[in-house]
Amino acid sequence: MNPYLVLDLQADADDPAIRQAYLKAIKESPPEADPKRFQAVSHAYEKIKDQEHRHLHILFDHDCPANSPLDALARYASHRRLDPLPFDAMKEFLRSMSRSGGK
Amino acid sequence: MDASPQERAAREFLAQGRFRKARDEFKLLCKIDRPKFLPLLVEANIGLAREMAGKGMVEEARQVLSYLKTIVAGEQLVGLELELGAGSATPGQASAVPAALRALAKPSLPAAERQHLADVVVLAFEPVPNPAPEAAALARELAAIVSALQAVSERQFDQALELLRPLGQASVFSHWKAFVKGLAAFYRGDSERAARLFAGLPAGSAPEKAGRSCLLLLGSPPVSNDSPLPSEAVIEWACRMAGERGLGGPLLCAEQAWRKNNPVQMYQNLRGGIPRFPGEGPDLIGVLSQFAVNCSFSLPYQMQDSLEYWMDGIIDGRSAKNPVEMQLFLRARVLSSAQIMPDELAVKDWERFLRLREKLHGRNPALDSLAYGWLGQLFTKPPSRGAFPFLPLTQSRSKMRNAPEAQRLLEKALQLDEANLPASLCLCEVYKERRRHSDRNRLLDRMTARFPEEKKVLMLAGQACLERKAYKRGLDYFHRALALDRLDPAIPDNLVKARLLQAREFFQKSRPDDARMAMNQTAAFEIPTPGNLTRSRWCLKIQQGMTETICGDPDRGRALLEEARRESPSEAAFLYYAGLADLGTRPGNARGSAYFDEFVRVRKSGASAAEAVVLTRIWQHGRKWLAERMSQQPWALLEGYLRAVAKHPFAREDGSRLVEFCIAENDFAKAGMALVEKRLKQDPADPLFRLYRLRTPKSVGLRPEALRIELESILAEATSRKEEQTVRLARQQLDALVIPPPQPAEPFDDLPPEDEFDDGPFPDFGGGNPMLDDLPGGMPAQPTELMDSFLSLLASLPERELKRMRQTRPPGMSVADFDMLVEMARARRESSKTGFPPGNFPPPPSRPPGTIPPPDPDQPELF
Repeated sequence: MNPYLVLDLQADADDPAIRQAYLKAIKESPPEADPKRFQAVSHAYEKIKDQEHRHLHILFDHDCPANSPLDALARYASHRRLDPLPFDAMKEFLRSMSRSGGK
Repeated sequence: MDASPQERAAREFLAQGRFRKARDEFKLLCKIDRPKFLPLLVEANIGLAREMAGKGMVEEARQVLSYLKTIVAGEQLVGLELELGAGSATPGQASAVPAALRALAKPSLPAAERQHLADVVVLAFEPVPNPAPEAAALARELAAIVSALQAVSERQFDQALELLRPLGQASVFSHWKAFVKGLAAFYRGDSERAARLFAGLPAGSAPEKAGRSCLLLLGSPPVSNDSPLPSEAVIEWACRMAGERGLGGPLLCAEQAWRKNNPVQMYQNLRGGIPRFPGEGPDLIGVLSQFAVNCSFSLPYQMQDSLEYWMDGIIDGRSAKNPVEMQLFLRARVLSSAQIMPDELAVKDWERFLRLREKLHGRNPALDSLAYGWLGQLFTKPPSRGAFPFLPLTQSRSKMRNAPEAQRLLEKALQLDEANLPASLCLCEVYKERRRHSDRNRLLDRMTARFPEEKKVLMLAGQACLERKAYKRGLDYFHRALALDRLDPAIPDNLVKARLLQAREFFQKSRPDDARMAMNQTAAFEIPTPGNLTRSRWCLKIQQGMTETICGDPDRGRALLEEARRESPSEAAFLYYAGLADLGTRPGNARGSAYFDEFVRVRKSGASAAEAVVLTRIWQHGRKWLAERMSQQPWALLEGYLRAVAKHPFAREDGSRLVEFCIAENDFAKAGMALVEKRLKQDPADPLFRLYRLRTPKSVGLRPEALRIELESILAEATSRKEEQTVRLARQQLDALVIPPPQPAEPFDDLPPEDEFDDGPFPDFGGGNPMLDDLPGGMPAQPTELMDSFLSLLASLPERELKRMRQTRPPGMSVADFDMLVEMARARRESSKTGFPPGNFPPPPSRPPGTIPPPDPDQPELF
């Protein structure tokens, strides 16, 4: 998975920003509370922790982040803090799903 | 009373959800028995109206509603009325919600209709200012649900939960309460709770349908090829919740293609359906792009091949959708194929990738340096036989794939960033390989200045100093390295070596005291373990004694050597080591040593496999002291010793180590084969030694089918004996074996009988089965068999590989010749297709053809 996404960073983040985001993320997800997330965060940090690693990531990373396109969507959502839909959009969402029958 | 056929048909239409047909039938039936069929006619019309509304035909649905109002009381239609009017109520117009609430308050309402009506009143999102007394409680609950949904939208999760508190389990809106709680848990990141709440919603209810999008985002249940495919609406809303609109259709199509094992179509669906695809950002498009491109690295071979072939077309046709796509494809192509693609193409692609990246992200010399360094380093690896594992390599004797190009790339890497340490270290190797000693020394000087605390650099610099006889400086570098790492045994090894060389130089300069002082300083690094062939006491004494004998005082030297003999683990080991040291220390090109003569006498008393293992290590350690022409006698002695070992039964583990040695050192091939033969006489089914046997020229005569059968038999035997390493090796060899399936008409007729392997001595290890042998220096196989194997290989390769091979065809082969061979191979492939499932083909190699690995570095202590 894209390490910048996992750590909630912009693609041009520098060393201190990355370190800060990493510390924040592991504070939020300590290994005893959320081992999977902790592992993902640590793995992401290892990939971009300094300039050399970032360059190696850009050049050689060939991790496949998912098992299928829909799995990619699910994994993206699992690493991203999603904002709720605005109320009007929520209404549209509920009505639309009710009408379409989810089929 | 039995129903009439017309009634049965009408009821079936209704049950099947074919409302229009049902309505038409019940209309006719109402003329016969109105009280009986009117409720069914109403139900069919309501169903029809809902179906129309679901399809967006709201006006038509309203016409049905108008008709319904003529045949049934209005209060029965409040739900439908609300559904059709939802979101479109105009100010001043009377809302149907109060009427619906009143209907909900009636206990006689069936449960399903009750739940549906509850959904409808929630989805109306309308306030109920003055509800009827009987519906007041329901109105409060409705307001709580709507407010809670709004609070969730505003991230006020606690408030939302607080609002829901008054709703009890028995409330008609209880499923909405569960839904809102699920949403709050979802946005709070409590995935498990959210998934549990969404999964528990009543099937068919509005919250359950909405929950499907949330469950998709939660990966619950995990997406797999067997899981039901969600609808486009579910995916679309899941994407919208993740911040992207308009992805539902393309993602659904991509998923369908993916499940049909069609990665190209999957990519094309995303590419064509999503304007911003592919992208690089840390967003959903970026993740989908990363998946769609990087999946090529982990796909099964044939799917990978089809995707890469399609990507090749995009690259070569310069038809990328945007620069990001071209950049991603170029990178993927070089990473996946640089090992086998022509050097100039690899360089061209890699530089194109870097230029595009520079355009997109600006100049980055450090990244470029790393990129050039990587490719340069790749060119320093031994040349791969790639698609032509059995054809003779080009005449270049270089151990590197392309040393001049590696030098150019590595020099460029250092121009871009002199702090690129891996590139610097690699360039040292290239200079050494190309005998550019001055360049190497200058580079090492720069490196020691730039990386004064880098152990590898200091070690390299020290070794270069020893090569140019600058012992003092070399010792200085080694001491600095030792200060950095006191645990690395290579550093004291080098210090001892440097001191002994320095001592020899002092002797030559007639400074015996300095020489002895230098030799005495080696004592600081002496270790008690006899297995260390540089610093164990007996080895140190031999080296000191030999230096003293030849360059200094022979009496002192003899005394040291006697001491070494006493402390050595065996007479043979001492004599063989001393003989090698004697040849290596004596000036000129001596070809014999008295110690070797004595070794011959000792050997006659018997040879053991365990001691042979020791001698092979001494050979590997000491041969570098000798010029090539001086090594004849020690080689012959060891070869003879190994052959003597092969005359008697020996322990399997020792035998395996010896055979591995013989494979690595091709000069000992005959002895190696004798060992294999002997072992197979002891245990004819031994899978490891049968595997070794396949590397002999005997196997050249084996047809690919027979080879495969033998390998499969070895694999089965190794599996039954639980020999994990042999299983792994046999699998590697099977993977590397690219041959067509067996012919049905003559099933395995060509398999030689088992004992065919055993007749006659093996002539030579070199030139074993060309489809397995990856060792350099192998004897070429017979031309007819080569052609046969070559055609078999071509026939089994996908088009993309053929295209690559066309570019990397062997030297001297014209394009026309190659194309002709490909045609022949295709004809063969067509003729062999009949009756054979494709699964019979062995998987093409996912890695370079497997070889017997070098001896285990963790082998136990020598003595």
